[in-house]
Amino acid sequence: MVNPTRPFELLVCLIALALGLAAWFISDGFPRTEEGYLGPALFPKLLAVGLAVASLSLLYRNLRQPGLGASFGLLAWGNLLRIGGVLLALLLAPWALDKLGLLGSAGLLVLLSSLLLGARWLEALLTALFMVALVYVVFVQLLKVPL
Amino acid sequence: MSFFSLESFLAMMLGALYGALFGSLPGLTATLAISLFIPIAIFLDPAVAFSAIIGITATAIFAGDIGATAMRIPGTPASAAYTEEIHQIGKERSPAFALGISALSSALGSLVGVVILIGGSLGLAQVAKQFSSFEYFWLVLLGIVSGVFATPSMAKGLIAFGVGMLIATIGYDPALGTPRFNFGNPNLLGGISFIVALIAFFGVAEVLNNIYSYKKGPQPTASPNQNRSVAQEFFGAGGRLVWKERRLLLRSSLLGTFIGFLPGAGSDLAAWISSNFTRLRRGSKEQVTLSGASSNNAAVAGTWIPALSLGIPGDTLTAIVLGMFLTMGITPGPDLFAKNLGFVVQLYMAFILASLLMMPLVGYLGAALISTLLRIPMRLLLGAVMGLCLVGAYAINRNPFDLYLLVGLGLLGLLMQRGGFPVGQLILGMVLGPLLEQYLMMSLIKTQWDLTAFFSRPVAVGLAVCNLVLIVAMLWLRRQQGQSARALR
Repeated sequence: MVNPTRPFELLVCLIALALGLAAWFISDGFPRTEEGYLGPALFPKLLAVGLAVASLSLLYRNLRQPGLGASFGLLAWGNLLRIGGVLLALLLAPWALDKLGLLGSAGLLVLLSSLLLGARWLEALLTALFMVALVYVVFVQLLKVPL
Repeated sequence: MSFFSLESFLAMMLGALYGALFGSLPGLTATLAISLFIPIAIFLDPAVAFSAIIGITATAIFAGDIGATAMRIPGTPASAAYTEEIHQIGKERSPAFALGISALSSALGSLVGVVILIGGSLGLAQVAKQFSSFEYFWLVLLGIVSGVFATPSMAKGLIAFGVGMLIATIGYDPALGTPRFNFGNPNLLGGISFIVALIAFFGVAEVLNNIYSYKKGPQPTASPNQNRSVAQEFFGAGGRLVWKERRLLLRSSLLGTFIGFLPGAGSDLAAWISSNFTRLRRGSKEQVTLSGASSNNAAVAGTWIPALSLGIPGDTLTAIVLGMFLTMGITPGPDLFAKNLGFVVQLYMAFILASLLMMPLVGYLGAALISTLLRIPMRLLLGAVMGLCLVGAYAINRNPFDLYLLVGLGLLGLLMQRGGFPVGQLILGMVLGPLLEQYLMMSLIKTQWDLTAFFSRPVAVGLAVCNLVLIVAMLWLRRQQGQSARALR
């Protein structure tokens, strides 16, 4: 049976391996203790070894099983594009903060996320307006959190 | 003024609601709630001020479960330990049932903690005085080992822990203060905000996961048991389960109180260790939730043990409260019992009142609110959650850079979730990693890198043996399970 989690498992293993290798090499540049011991590099190096061993063993197990190509065929590419849209909106939020302020940016993000989740325009707009009002009342008026 | 006046009772009630609001909203923490209240508290009568503080601490930790149940976003790090389970219970059965288990076991766990606080403040504090960096190192390692073995795939557990601990190494190192992995970016010098990571891994990742699973057509709006009343689910079904699991509740509460009274450990660690032990024993979702919730609330009382008897704070919350004690002219420590015995007794009584009344009441109100919220279609609720994630992450430091972190970590959370990696263990790695490194480096520096010193003290040896026994037992258990599975095939 084709396992739909395999492409994600593979990707996380590669990320973990890359993080481990990066931690190992970057920590070479950290200063040593007066006695010549590793110091601040010790813990990251231990973690790098752990990450490399665990990710390589999982990668080996994943790649040995048949049907990897078929599991890539199960990816929901359309929904991955929607996710890209939400993440792009979130990436643009710092820019929107300058123009619209936090409440406006949050409202815009709610509107966009709701639409990408399949909401109709009017209900998405009403949700966004309600959220803006709720955040204003709870954070600004009640809790006096400066936004 | 007495703790038993109407003003004190009202202060506790308002404090409980205020704490619940902060605890349930991601990005707002119990520590923030207390910090914002302190400037007001110092102008109040001590009995009224401490009643409010007890109300806040009693509910703020528990209320983290409200966000976890409704949106899979834990309001507090302590709730993150069993977010997956409590959210699943809420989805599969009803949020009222999930919060009933959490609130009632929190109340009883807190009560156990208070009883121990009353009975053994001084005695237990003597044990903690024996702990040095070696014992703490082995204790934190025990938390990590149990967490790794609590996951179905050990390699996935190790990766999740490793990534979490590596993320936590960003910023100044705890032993020598050297900046690490900041790539010249001043925003990373202080490390990655734990709350931002929490919102990203649980909040953003959950919304993205729902978008990934999105299918056109009718969508679910509410959990199956919406036709049963909130009271039936919360007090009836929740209460019956808590009674059935009373032994587990007592065990978890005792463990939570013990961990809570160790300085620096706190309720987060208590919840993680306790729920991981239950997972290790193949406990059900309900059992994991019950053990985590009872343990973290028992730990809240536990943190007051060294605070009152030694003047050593058990966590950040009690550190702030100790500062307030001193501001009000009350010196915590052994003298407190001799000079202000009446005050201490009333403080204990206020704790009992908060445990028995405030937690179930606030929990019931939270359950009723969520039952209403879940009638909203998921597409709108998740859209609103995304907005709340943005506000929560930005409100912590008012730093736009945190929003870039939200994107990166949220995406990593999605990939891990879809790949079957335990995201909760990653968060646990972020909590335990810095502690493990701190105690490791402290021990190495003070012994001139003599590794045998880790086995030179009796309690340290005992804890090291506990680690070894756990590893050997779990490896043996997994081998047995593997052989049985192969035999069945």
